[in-house]
Amino acid sequence: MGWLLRTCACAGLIVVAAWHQGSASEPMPRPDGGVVANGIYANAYFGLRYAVPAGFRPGLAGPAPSQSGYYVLATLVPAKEFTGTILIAAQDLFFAAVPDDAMATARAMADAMARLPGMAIDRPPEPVTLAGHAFGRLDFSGVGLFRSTFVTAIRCHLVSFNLTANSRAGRAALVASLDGLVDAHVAGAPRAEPVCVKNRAGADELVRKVDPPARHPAFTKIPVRIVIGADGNVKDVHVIRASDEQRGVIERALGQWKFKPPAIDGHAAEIETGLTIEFRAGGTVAYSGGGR
Amino acid sequence: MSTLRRSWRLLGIAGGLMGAAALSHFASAQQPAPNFGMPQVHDPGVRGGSPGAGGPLAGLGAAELAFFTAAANRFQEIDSVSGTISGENGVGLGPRFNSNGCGSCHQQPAVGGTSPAVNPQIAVAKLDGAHNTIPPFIHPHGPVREARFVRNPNGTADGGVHDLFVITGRSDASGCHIQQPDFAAELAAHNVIFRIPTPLFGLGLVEGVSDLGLENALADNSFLKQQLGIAGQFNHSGNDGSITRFGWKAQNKSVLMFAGEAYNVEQGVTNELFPNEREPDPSCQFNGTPEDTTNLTNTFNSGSPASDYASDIVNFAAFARLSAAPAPVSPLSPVAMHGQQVFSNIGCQACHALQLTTAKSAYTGQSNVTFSPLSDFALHDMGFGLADNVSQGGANGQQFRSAPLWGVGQRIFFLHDGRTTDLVEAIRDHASAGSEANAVINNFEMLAPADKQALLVYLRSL
Repeated sequence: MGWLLRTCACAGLIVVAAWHQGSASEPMPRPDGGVVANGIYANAYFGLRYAVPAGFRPGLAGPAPSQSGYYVLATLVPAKEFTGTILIAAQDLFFAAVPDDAMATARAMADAMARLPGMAIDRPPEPVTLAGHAFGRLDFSGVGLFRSTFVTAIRCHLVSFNLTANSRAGRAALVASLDGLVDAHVAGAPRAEPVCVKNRAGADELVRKVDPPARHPAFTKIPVRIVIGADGNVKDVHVIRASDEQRGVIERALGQWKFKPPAIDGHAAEIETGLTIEFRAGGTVAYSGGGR
Repeated sequence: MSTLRRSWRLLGIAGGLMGAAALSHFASAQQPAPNFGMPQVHDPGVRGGSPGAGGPLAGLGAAELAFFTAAANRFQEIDSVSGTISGENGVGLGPRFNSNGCGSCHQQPAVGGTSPAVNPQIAVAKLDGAHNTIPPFIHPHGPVREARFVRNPNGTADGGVHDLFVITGRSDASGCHIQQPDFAAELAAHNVIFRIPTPLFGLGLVEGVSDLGLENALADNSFLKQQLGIAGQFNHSGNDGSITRFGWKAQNKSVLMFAGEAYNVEQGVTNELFPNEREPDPSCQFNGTPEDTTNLTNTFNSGSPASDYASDIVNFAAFARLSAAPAPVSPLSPVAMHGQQVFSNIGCQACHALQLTTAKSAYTGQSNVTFSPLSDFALHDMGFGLADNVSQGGANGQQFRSAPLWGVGQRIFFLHDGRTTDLVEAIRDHASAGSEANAVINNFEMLAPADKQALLVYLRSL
């Protein structure tokens, strides 16, 4: 028994070391890793590049990613007179009860906006294609602010461009700026990112599980995205929102998990999926699939 | 009619409320730049007239009303060390304290409210022979404040309340020689943050909303939030995992817990929830603990046996639980009504949610009551500008509960530390790096001046 425990512990250490080596040498892009440089907002995770409108600059940084997997990716504001803003956001579909279809989301947004007193729907939800992605577009206005939301689904996230101006012409100019949105993916080349799949971190997929030790605060839902290699090993652990202590123990524990080798349509595939972790009173750990 | 022209007409209805803005408003704004050259806006100021708060919930039964009335009186009790000083009959003050009665801090615009215009902490510091030094952040016309230290001397996280005053020197505290913390040094080390009292009106309604009701309300306007960079999460009890909802960081589970903690922390009165003194010096212990207990005999004869036999903290909680929500101006003026529309359109209501509904209640007439606290009672990241770097439960140093805005029209001091008396400044202070409110404040900045002013008129109507 003692020999077995020592062997298992040793194997675990090797796995941890291998995982850390892999992640250190090739850090995977994260949804909130986009930056503005040389007039371009570039986001490697979503494969998008957006030419910042002339006269705009990065605004205040947004909040940390939320417990529901919501990200403020970038805020762009005019360098001079404050006449319009651009908010680029993403909602991880593994962790929120929202439609996973761009048009359904645009319609739901329209319903929500129409319920606000004085808010006018200027342009009902309609499909548009930008940078090769199918977006849902919604225009609405109230109290002198003219707004457009363009939303699309990428890698199991709803990515949205939220444009606001204090004139119709200003909004039109911001909408036109989306012509500068391009997909960084090279046409014809195979996509390198893992396939996103909901609810693939459950017990029936697991071969080896290591529980993280409980860390404060308890009863807080912690959203985690993991990338599972075609061999079933965990290649990346992205703890989206947690305390620093929780983040560390979860990264170490989940890096040791092993799954059945994932397959898509019968072919081995690298996938990314999500799960929610919650530390409970008494040091127990609860998992849920990250599904809705 | 263009929005701008319509807004200007509304402004005319307001009767020329708009005035020249103090440049200091803009000095404090971290970003974005205001529309220079346009007429600016100003806080109409604390609304006068009747308090619109402090009475009981509508629909209570006779016994509940009697309990409320007696509890309101108990709430105004003034404490001394052993209850032996005339007019200060409450028992248990100190050894360390911030004030000597609940009603001293919860006073504006009526008993149960928040920080009054004249700070009672100035007088209480020297009461009955005490010779406390007034800390540099306490001013005669400033907010009532408690102080928390961010770090312990060894650098680990503190976050706890460090009371301003000690009973040393008081006529009823002979032999006690403890000293105040060195607040000036802690200030110099940037180790002090402040909190002001939260109003207690209508908290029974808040307590009466189920966890599911809060979660549904948070999810209900998720599409509005998604366009504004807003998410939010609840704080939870470390004991049973349910949602906690009281206090600046929603760290307290119930009004009873809130009352028990405040009685011990703010006044130094040990009680059945917090039965031990925080100050260990035995030369400053004058009473058996807990100092506030269930009364086994009735010495009050208030007309409410429930109140008479109950401890102070149960009475304090009953006062808060059975008090009515603050009443807004009714009917709202046309400008205020337009301001309400601005409030919802620019996204304020994404966090300061308009309505909640109570679940089935044990109190008469309080089931299924829809009310407007103007808060989702969730935690939101408020950025570096408001961060106090104190964690409480699941709330980190940047997170705060959406402050309920009911009654804000009659409040004097704003934000968790009472840093401003100017609503415009309070609004703009919501924006800083890392804040969920940035997009909403950007929307505010892009409004026409008349629309901004209408928003302020609406807020002062609450």
